[in-house]
Amino acid sequence: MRKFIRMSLLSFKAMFGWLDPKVYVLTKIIDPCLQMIFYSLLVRFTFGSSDITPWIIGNAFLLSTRNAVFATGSLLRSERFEGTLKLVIASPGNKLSTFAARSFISIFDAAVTVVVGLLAGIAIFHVDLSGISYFQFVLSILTAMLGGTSLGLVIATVALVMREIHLFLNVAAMLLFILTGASFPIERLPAPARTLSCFLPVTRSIEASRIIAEKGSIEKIYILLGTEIIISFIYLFFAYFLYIYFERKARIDASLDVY
Amino acid sequence: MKNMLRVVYSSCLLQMKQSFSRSMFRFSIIIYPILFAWTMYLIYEGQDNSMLVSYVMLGTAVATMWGSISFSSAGDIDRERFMGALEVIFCCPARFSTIMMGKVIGNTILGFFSMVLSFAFVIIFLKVRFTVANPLYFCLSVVIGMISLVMVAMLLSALLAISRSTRVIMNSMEYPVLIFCGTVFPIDILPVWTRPLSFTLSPTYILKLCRESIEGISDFGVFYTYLLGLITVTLIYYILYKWFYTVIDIKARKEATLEVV
Repeated sequence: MRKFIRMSLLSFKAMFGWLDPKVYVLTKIIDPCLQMIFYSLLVRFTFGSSDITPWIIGNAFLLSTRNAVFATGSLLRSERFEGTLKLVIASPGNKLSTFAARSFISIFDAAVTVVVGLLAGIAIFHVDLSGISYFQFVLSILTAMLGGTSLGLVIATVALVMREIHLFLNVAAMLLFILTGASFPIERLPAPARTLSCFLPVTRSIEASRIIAEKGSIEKIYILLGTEIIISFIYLFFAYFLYIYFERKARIDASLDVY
Repeated sequence: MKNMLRVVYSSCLLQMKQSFSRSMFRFSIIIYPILFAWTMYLIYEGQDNSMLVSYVMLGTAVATMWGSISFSSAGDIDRERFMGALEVIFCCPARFSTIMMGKVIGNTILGFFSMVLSFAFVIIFLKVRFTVANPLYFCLSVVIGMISLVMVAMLLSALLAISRSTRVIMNSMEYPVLIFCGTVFPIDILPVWTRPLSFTLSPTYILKLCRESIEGISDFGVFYTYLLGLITVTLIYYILYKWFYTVIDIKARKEATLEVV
């Protein structure tokens, strides 16, 4: 366990800019705040004077999910570009544990981004979160991050056979934005897109967080979060099997050090 | 002059070929405009046609143009640095700024394609009616706007050539521009103190000029004021980029940090 934590911290520090605090502040605090302000101003302008709290919560969740998806999604790509992917694959260590350790901190780091986004919402747009259950709210944040990380891992596996993974990551981030109902009601989506949104992680966490903010049905909150966790685990298993398949394919094609 | 144009042409051609080979660039100029336009359309659903044209269509077009020209041009510096080619380009007989100009023009041509694609998607698939009341002024605004964005890209490339955190700074510049230039909402909803900042950025003028010429210019005095504003900020960008390129030429040689990844 100590090795797991040490590996998590070390890879997080190296890969996401903690070695340079300026980079961390720019990417994880300033940029999310600006993104939050942009989408909040947009929904306030389009939806008029109505309460924009649900959309601010949705966007705070989404921007951190983006972080989670990108952080985990770029894992194998970074290894390839640094020339260490073949070493990681060839090493006798448990790969599942290696990559789980590298994604582990991303969950908490992305959760920090939600808090930063929400604080920006509270300070600038006077979002009222007083009197809510903080336990449920934190649970919904962590569930959303688990969902984002699991989706990121599915995409990350493709990096074993492809050089440029950013195309998938960006499309996934945009689709999450469109399909999770973070910035507009899901009812506006065409029927096939609505169906697809049911199979995506994060959709239910956002809905649950809105119910928490409205102090709605506790039972519904736990059902939504429970379903979200199940879907996230399905994605995690899918990522695992995809990893096995793509690792084999990458070995056969000898494409591990192509960059 | 002929040699300089040849360098610009070669650099532009190579840039377009290299850019198109990158999946991220294909995303930026093909997929991103479509997804961004669709998102904006869903947010603006139910609003009248003029709002859809102003904010969904023009907003998407300017946002994607800005992304593909400015970010790609700045990102090129980062890529060249990572591949170890930045110092080679810097020291070759052709001037660094001439090579960069070719790259930026290449990105501008692809960015224009991206803008046309977003227009076509909004008109064909989202069924937004698009008519231009003053086509001549619209074309004039687009042409001067593109020249202005080329100058912005040159300025950014100069600024970022000497920074190791190019990509991070570049990514952090996207939302301020989208917010302060009123790409998908009017700048009137922003606090008054942000207004001077908005008017130092050329996309603000480009959007205002395009919106006016699409809806029909009611006051030519206002239109020409914005046009003059756009030309003025473009000239300022030009002077600054020329100055920055002189500064980095000295700084890069003195500090020897061009190849530091």
